[in-house]
This record gives sequence, structure tokens and C-alpha cells, in this order.
Amino acid sequence: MRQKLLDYLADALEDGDRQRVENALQSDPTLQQELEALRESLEPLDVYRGDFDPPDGLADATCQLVAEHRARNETATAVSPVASPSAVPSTARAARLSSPAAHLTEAPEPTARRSRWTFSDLTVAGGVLIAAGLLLVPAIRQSRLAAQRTTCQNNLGEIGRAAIEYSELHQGAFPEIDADGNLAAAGLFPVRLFDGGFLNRPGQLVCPTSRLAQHLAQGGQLPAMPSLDELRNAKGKQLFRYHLTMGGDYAYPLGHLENEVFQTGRNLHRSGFPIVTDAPKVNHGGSGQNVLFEDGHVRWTTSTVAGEYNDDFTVNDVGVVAAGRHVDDAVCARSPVRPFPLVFRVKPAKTPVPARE
Amino acid sequence: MSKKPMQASQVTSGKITAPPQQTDEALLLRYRATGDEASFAELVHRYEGELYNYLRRYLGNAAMAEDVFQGTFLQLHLKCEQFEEGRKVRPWLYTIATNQAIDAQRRNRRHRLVSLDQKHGADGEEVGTLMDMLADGRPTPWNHLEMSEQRDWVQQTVARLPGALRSSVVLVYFQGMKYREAADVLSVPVGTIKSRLHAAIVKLSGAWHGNFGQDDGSENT
Repeated sequence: MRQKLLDYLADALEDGDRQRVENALQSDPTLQQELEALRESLEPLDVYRGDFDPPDGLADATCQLVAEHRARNETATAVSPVASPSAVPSTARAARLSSPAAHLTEAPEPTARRSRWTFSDLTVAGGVLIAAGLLLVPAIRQSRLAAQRTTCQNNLGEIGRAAIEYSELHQGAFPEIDADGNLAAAGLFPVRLFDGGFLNRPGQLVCPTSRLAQHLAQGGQLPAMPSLDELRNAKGKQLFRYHLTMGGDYAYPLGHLENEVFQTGRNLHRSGFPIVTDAPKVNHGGSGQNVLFEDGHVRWTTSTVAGEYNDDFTVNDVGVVAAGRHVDDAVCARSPVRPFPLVFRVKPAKTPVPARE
Repeated sequence: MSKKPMQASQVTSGKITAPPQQTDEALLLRYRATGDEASFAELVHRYEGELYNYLRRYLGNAAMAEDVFQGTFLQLHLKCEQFEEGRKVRPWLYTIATNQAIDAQRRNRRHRLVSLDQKHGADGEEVGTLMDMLADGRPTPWNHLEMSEQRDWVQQTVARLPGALRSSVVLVYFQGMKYREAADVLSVPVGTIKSRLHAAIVKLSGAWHGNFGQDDGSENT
């Protein structure tokens, strides 16, 4: 019966089997306790059981797509090939943006109720407005973006100074993260800097272009930075939350493998080796990112391939967001990322036992 | 436990003219025989929520789910001549959808290389950093952050399961199908579905507790 508890919780049993489980539960308190324990252990998954709302008009757009496909085939000659279904999806969403029920009615004829003068007036006025907008808006926007970029560079500069100071007091080692366990997350980097007093202002971890910055500007508060002890002792959702938030808006080094042994970074003063970056493709509207290099200088880049190693610092040499494959393989990742992300290993097939002679 | 995903029969639309009491099979057969668009539209609307949810979970990506949903019904239109009278439409539709989803993933192989560092909103759209989500201006940002990020975590972890386990756990655990229905969809014995579900749940639950330990429930959210 224990085997059926998961089936029961998943609501996967037919009525008869379900009734048998319920009868057993009523008469067996131990089984009830096991059910509750199982339910509790599955609770983190339940958040994924709620409904996703389909996009507006998905069904209508799908009907339209099929109707159009049908109409094309009906009017085509017998030699016309059937359109490849694989070519459909890219146009399908576009179709959804048009009138969703267009296939149910005839396309209306354009009406003749137009006024040339009114149209001309609107065109001229619109043109003037657009021209003015084209001149002014980009300039204002550029100015604001440049200011935000500079503030962000200053943040990274402060983090860089703190990290270098840390390394000087720790035999050249940057703040280390573990390969596994509570201290195995990229965001541990600033936690160690705060814990050691090398940083003292949590706002240094906020990029001014992020929504968190807007939240702060509106009077919101930053999440509390955990101490190392708090992090070591945290469990479950609390640990999950710390991992999510402790690194702020930036990405930190995930360490690397050296002779298959995990190592966190040491300060080798490489001018082309990134150690902390903007969250790639997120901050600054995705237009680029500030990058702090090991020698302490900060540079704006539009590409995630940077430095003398021509290395994409968002992934390791095999294209995975995980620890680098060697000492020159920089990988910077956001706060919750582990050096060795979860990978399900498929159990190898059993080797057939050789027949005895 | 949260509520089960909506079933096709619960979905209604004011635009549909076909009689609502008709079975899925009757609608498909009528469409095949007469080309009645209203019957086809009724089927699409009935399955809009249910099938989209399945694809959304299976693929872990909103845009791909939308594309595959449309591709599925295009295939239904193209293959309706192959539908055997006496069979059920629902498992057949899920089979088509699953095959379409597998094809879509093959075409987008690079999506399988996602890591926990990827940006994902609840709908797979880019929403900014995790910290951004905290600061989205809602009254309880902590709760929202936790919920949406936990959901993303499960989504990404489900996406890393081997395909056979993933389809079983999505159909049965998240989508609310009975074992027998899922076995029909995937054309495998019921026992296989059960063992796959158990294996998938063990992996998912183990992954959560392996990463974050057992929640002692002592903190307030």
C-alpha cells in the first residue's frame, strides 16, 4: 500500500484503487503519517501544479492558421506541395496578432470615408512631432544611460577594490565558494566581502538600471545580506531565498577545475580576466555590461566575449554555466548558480551476466 | 495541494456555435466528414488551456509551447483522416502534441543547455534578474519572488529530466492524468508509467532537498 501513496497524492489512481487507499488510510495511522511526510516532501513541487494562462487568442489564432492552410490547399493546384508544418510556427504568432476571428467572416472592403485634407494635416503634424522626437528623445536617453553606466562602473570599482584587498589578506585568494552545500553559490563572493568588512554598503550590489533600483527609489528595501553563519545554518526556502538575493544585480566567478580539482580564483592580476560583471544581457537593457577585471579596472563591453583570452565569460569552455574547465576559463554567474549545476545522471544499463559454463 | 489543471470540457467560448454537449470524437468526425469549421474550433477551444499547460510544462518555454500548440492542431487537421473511429481523441491529441514537442526541441537543441542562471519569467519571457523580480512593485515582493523563483526552479529541473521521465511526470503529476490515460498517450504499459513517475518524483524531490535541505518551517515568509 505504501507504494500507492504517491499515486494517491498524484491523483493518478482509478476510482477503485483510490478507494482502497482511502480505506487503508482510515484504518492505519502509520500510513497516514507516511502520507503526510510524503506530501510535505513534495510540497516544493506543488508550486508548479497551478495553471498557466494560455496567451490571449491562442485558440482563435490556431483556428485561423488552420483555416488559412486549408484555404491555400483548396485553391492550389493538385501539384502544389503541402506546406511544411515546421514552417508554420513563426508565422502563427504573427497571425494571432491580427484579427483573431478573421477566418469567421469575410474580409471587409475598405471604406471610402476619407478626408484628404485632414489626412494631410495629420501627416504634416505627425511628421513634425516625429522629427522632434527623433532629435530629442535619443539624446536624453543616451545621457541618462551614460550616467547609469558610470554609477554601475563605480559600484564594480568598489567591489573590485574590496576583492583585491581581500585577496591581499588571503594569500592571493579571492572570496571562495564551496563546490557543494550551503556555501556553493556564486553570490557567496559578496557575502564574504561583507562578512569580512571589505564592503559595507549593500547598495553597491545594485545596478542603477535594474528594477531593484527602481524599487529602492520608490522607498523599497533591500533584502538582508546573510552572514556566513546564517547561510551555513539556513535550510529549505530560507536557503533558497538567500541564494537568490545575496549577490544583488551582479555576476560573480564560479571557480574552475585544476587537474579535475575544484578551485576558486586567485588574483593573478590578469588585465583580461573578468571577475565580476553585470548580470549578462539583463542590466542596462541588455545592451552590454560593465566588466570588472582581475587587475581592478572596469570596462564597458557589448559582447560577453572579452579579454585577452577571447573567452565567453557567461559559460565555460563547453558552453555550460558552471565552473571553468581550467584556470583561464572565466565564468561569471548570478547569485544562485552553483559551480556544478544539478545534472541528472542516467543509470547505465545493467551489463548482462555472462552465462556460466 | 494546488488545484488541478483545467480539463478540456471546462473550457468554453462564447464564439463557438457547435453544440457543447458533443463529444470530442463526434466533433472530429464531423469536421472530417463535412469540413465544419465550428466543430474544429470547438475542439481547439476545449483543449486550449489543458494542452497549452501540458506543452508549457513539458517544454518549459512559453513561446515554444504556443508554437507547438498551433502545430499540433495543424497536424490534427492534416491527419484527421487517420483517426480511427472508436478511439478517443484526447490521448491521440496528446500523442501528436508530444511528438511535435520533441521535434521542436530537436530544432532548438540549444535550449537544453539552460542552467539555473538563465532568466525566466513565469511565462518564459525575460524579466530581468532575480533581484529585479523582487522589486516589481508588488505589495509582497518576497512572497512573489519566492513563488515565481521556486516555480522557475521546478520548471528548469523538470526540463533536465530524461524525456521519458519528463513526459510521465508532466502528464500525471502536474497535468492530473490517470495512469491509464498517460499510458495511452505514451503508448507504454501502465506499470511503465508508474515506475517512470516514481523515478521522476524521487529525482525532483531529491534535487530540491539536495540543494536546499529539508525546510524546517521555522522562518516566516
